[in-house]
Amino acid sequence: MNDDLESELRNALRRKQPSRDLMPAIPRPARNWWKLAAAAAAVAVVAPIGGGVYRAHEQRKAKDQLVFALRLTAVKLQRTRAQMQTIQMEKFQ
Amino acid sequence: MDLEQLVREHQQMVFSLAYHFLRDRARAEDLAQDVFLLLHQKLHELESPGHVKFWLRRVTAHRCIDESRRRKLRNGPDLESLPEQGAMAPDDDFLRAGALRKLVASLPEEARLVVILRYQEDLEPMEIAEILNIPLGTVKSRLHRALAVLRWRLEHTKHKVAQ
Repeated sequence: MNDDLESELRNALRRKQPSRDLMPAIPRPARNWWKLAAAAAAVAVVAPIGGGVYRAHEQRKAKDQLVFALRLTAVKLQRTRAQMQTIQMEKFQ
Repeated sequence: MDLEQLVREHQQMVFSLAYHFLRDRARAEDLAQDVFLLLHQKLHELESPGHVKFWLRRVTAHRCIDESRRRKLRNGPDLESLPEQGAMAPDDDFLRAGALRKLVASLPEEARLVVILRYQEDLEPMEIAEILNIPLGTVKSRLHRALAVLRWRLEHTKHKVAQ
């Protein structure tokens, strides 16, 4: 009797197929905190470097403009001096 | 270990444990899906395919009990799971199997789990004790009592129908 009941239970409790696929919808893993920290650190390091490069470029440009202006002034002074010398020589003659 | 492959391999087992326990296909499928989602989170902690199978049986068993208790709190006793003794036809194999499943579903939760693990999964009492984390003696006594109750109810039903 017990054996009959046991075999009946095995038969009644056979595995069944689910009616749909049970693969769960896996949520996308959240970004790890260390990745975010690394990204922030990279920004913190790169930003000043970028800023420094920009500042150096601007300084070099200003220096070039200053040198150009000085050269221009020197040329103008030289011309002016030459004109004054010419005028003085004409006066003495 | 690939999750998709594990789901394909074990979904019938996990679903059937839940279905025989809850006797509700939709809820059994939802429960099984929750178990596989948890498996996805814990997969790195599991060492081998055997460990995965053991873990799935254990987690499903505990989830079944949790779900059953939640349902009782919400709805009170589940009349659907009670056997319809007068409507049984014990000599018809198909109907008798259905009636037997209903009788199993009417067993107390702990006894029901032991019976399902023993006869659906064909596990030895020692393996059931490990999965449910209870003493071997408790498994044996629950199984013994459950079989006695089922046998009595089946006989009682047969007797009723014969009258």
